[in-house]
Amino acid sequence: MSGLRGQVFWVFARRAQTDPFEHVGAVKATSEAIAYVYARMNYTERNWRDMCVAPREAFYEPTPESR
Amino acid sequence: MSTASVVADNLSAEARRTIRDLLVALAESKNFLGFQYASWCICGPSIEANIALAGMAQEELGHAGVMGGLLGEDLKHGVPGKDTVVTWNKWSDQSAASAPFRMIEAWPEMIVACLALDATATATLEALKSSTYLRLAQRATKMVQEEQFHLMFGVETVRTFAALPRETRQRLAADYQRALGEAEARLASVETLSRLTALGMLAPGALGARAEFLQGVTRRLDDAWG
Repeated sequence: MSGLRGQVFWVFARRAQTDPFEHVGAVKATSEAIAYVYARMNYTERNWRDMCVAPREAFYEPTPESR
Repeated sequence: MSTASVVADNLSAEARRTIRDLLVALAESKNFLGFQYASWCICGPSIEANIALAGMAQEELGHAGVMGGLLGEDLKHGVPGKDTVVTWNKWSDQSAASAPFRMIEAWPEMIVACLALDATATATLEALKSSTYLRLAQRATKMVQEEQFHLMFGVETVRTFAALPRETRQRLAADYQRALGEAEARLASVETLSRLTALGMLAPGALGARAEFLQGVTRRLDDAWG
């Protein structure tokens, strides 16, 4: 885990159980748990049924050089 | 007349007095929490924390307003601390000296003090969910639901204190215990809830639900202190 300054977590949410999760934003936090709390309290513009967070670093995207 | 107000009108004098005193204490606690969170929402450790604090301040002050509504509408009692926050009517003469509370100026100290009071107030609301005074039971249920993220915020913020020196963490843990005692004294909730249970206003398991709630917070906090 990154130091006290934290790392970026992407936030995903959906309004109904049958909806796909959509990427709604990002938060910077020092742990998954506090990232989740920040996400819940920062992205309140819609009444989300489910919300989850994942470290930005967990997502693999090939660079142009590696394609 | 609504069913809810019939229930309130039918409260015995003792039940009315006991609930009134508890609602006043809860509203004052919520105003205190709202004031602290609002004071910190521009100087927390990150923009994410600040936004969370602003949301928590609004919810706490909203909860105080709900208590005030019950006090005013059902119990015909004045609303305590309705001028806790600066309003358009009084903003021009507002100053730090005239504020109803003092801001706790150190982040870790604010977190542990507010967590203790928030946990105690929410545990009390957990017990009030079983109240036969329906309007109170309905509102307590909603407030407990909203509080879950406040407690998560407090506990997970305590976890970030792992980087602090051991002596500092021990002092903060002791501060938390002291703040719990002060919160209990402020709310007098065990005594009050026992009286309400004896009056048949709460389910027999209400005090147990309160204790279980607080134990759950303590367990999570013990884990967070490391």
